[in-house]
Amino acid sequence: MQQLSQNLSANLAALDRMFGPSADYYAKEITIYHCKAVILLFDGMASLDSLWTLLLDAASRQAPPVQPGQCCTGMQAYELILHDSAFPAENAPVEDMDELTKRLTAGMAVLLLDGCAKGIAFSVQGLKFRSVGEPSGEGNLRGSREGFADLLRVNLSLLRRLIRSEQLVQEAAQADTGMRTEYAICYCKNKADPAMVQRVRKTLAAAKPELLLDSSYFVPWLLPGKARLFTPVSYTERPAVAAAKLCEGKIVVLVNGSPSAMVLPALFCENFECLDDYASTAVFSSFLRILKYISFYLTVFLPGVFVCLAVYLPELIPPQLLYRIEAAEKATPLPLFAEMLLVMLILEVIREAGLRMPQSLGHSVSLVSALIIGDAAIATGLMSTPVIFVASITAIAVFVTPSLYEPATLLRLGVVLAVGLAGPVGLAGAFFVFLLSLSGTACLQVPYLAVHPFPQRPMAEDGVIRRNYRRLSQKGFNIWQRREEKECKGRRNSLFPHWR
Amino acid sequence: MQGQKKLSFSALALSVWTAALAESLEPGVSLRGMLLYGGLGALLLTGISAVLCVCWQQTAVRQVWLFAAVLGLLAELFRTATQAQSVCRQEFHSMALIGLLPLLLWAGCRIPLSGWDAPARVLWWFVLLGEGLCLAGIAGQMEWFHLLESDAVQLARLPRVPLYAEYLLWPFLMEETAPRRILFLPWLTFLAQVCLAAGICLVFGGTDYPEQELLRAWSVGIFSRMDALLLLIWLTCAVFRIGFLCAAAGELWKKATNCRKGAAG
Repeated sequence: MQQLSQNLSANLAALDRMFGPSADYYAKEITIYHCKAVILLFDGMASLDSLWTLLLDAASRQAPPVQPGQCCTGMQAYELILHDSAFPAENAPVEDMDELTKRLTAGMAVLLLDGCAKGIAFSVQGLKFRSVGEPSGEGNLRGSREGFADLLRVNLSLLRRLIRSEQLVQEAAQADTGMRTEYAICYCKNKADPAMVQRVRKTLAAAKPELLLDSSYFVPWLLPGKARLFTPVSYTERPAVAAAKLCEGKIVVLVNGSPSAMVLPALFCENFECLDDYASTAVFSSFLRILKYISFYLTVFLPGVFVCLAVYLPELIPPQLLYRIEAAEKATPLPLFAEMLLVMLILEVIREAGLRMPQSLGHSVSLVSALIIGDAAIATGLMSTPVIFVASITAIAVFVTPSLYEPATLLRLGVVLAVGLAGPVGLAGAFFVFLLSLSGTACLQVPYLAVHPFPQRPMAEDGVIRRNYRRLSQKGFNIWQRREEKECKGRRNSLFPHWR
Repeated sequence: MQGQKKLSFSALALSVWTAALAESLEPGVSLRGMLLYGGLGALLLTGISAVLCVCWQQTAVRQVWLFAAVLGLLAELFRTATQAQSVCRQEFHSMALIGLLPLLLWAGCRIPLSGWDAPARVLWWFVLLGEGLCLAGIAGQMEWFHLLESDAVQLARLPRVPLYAEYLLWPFLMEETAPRRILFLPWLTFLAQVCLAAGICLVFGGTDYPEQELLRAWSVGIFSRMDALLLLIWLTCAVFRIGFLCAAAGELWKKATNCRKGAAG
């Protein structure tokens, strides 16, 4: 770590070596309090206007009287600016090149004085950033329309504006990457588990991602080891949702340059909840949640179950429907299982193409795919209508729970493959894999699935269905209760409590 | 994974229930005979289970018991796999279970015992749903007067009381987390057998029919053979039992080898 020198020329030479070729590097030599100095900043990150207004005006008005032939030393000027003036300077001085780089890349301006080995940072950020608009990925009818922006400090301010309490802690740090990306860990100190916060803090500090462009890059460090279908963390771009999660004792991780906040730990049931749930009546939101659960299970199992029933257990299908399926299948060359797999893969290709290509071409893709899938495939006799109908229902149903898109897609393909290869045994096996992957997932000792996977008292909490908000509010929810429930479960009604 | 917790009552109970449902009833044993002798058998097994759970703690013979327990569990595993394969072959014309078996055994070895708890709880709901549907399907065909028919001769025949490894080995598997109701595992088998016997008696008037016929008697309007659905649920439970017994055998094997090392040290 290179310390700043007392010699201004030496500091400038070192900085020239570091940033000299960069077009945005700005170093202006000035005289302040009759002492040679230099103002450093990155063009576009710090606002020159506000800098000159604040700094030079104030300096010229508050210049101390100096006797003829006598100059202020660098240290005297430093002390004057930092302690005896109205300059909006940062309290902590800049003492080394690393710190200097950190401040400059955060959009601050740094003043270096000749004869002083410390610099003074000024908060004159003038960064351009995307406005706080509504996130496109999380639709809501009621509640806040604000979404996180890309700048970490803006996002932190959005959270602070919602949780106006001393309990909210926002710890910022720099990740150990080449890009030195800044990230923040946010939690409510009266609700979050201190041991778990410490664990997250340590894990993120020890993480060495090559690049850090989103909070999700931290997941392999937070949840190391095995491959998993379900990831027990959730993401949101809404400050209101992040604030609600913080109030449940959860930990939110924000990364500079990304509007996506990672919330941990997450529960499986939270994928079926949204802000609107609490704004509408308990009965209606419960109805919607049940619909969401049904949609999710449909999207995972419907194609597999359809293939299984049609091929192996046709007696379970009502005769009229069976005749139609049979008639449609006779006209196609592929076996039902291969046909289903093909349609699902084509739908995935279309989805991916629609997502990645420019918006202006998106409509053309939709049109062409609708023609291919909806008409041409059937007309040429490559695919049957029942298969396309089932695949389309599942493709639409998955968007009811967008946060479960990845596991749902993989599971759906897995179930169809298992059924195609092993029939009813494959279906049973795939269902079991699904159960095991759900129940085997946990984050920060909080199980992803409820301790009692199906509600023993369905109206007891905010689960598949919920009570009205007034009753829910009487007994607040904290995520760490789930861990305690799990620990207590084993101790209850023990036959041999002291047996070892 | 869910930590180092032991398995729960639900997992053990589902395992026993799955085995009990696959157990064929002795032909000619009446419902009353089943209630009397089956109940007596369950009581006896509860007593034996309670006595043995204390005996297992004797460190002198613990290692021997543990190795024997592993063998017992593997025998149970083999029996369940055979039953499941038989259902697959007869009902679904599929030999896929043989191909799936290595995968199941691998999963059983990899997943700790506590990992089988949550799937068991979910499967219990499916079992209850299936049984409720079945009951609704045969409700119209039940004739209550069949219960009053004379079966004095048949009372003399003793029903077979199945013995499962879970009755005797739960102290090794659950240890300090064992709830009091674990002692009632034999009663679960008794309940399954009584339900089957009662269903057959009420629908057919005697117990000379195989249980499969009870499923076949079930028909719901447009669906011609819903018994396949119940068999599918049972098959899922059998898949669970195979994996669970494998995990249990693995756990006990570890304990036995640790015990041996401890004794040698």
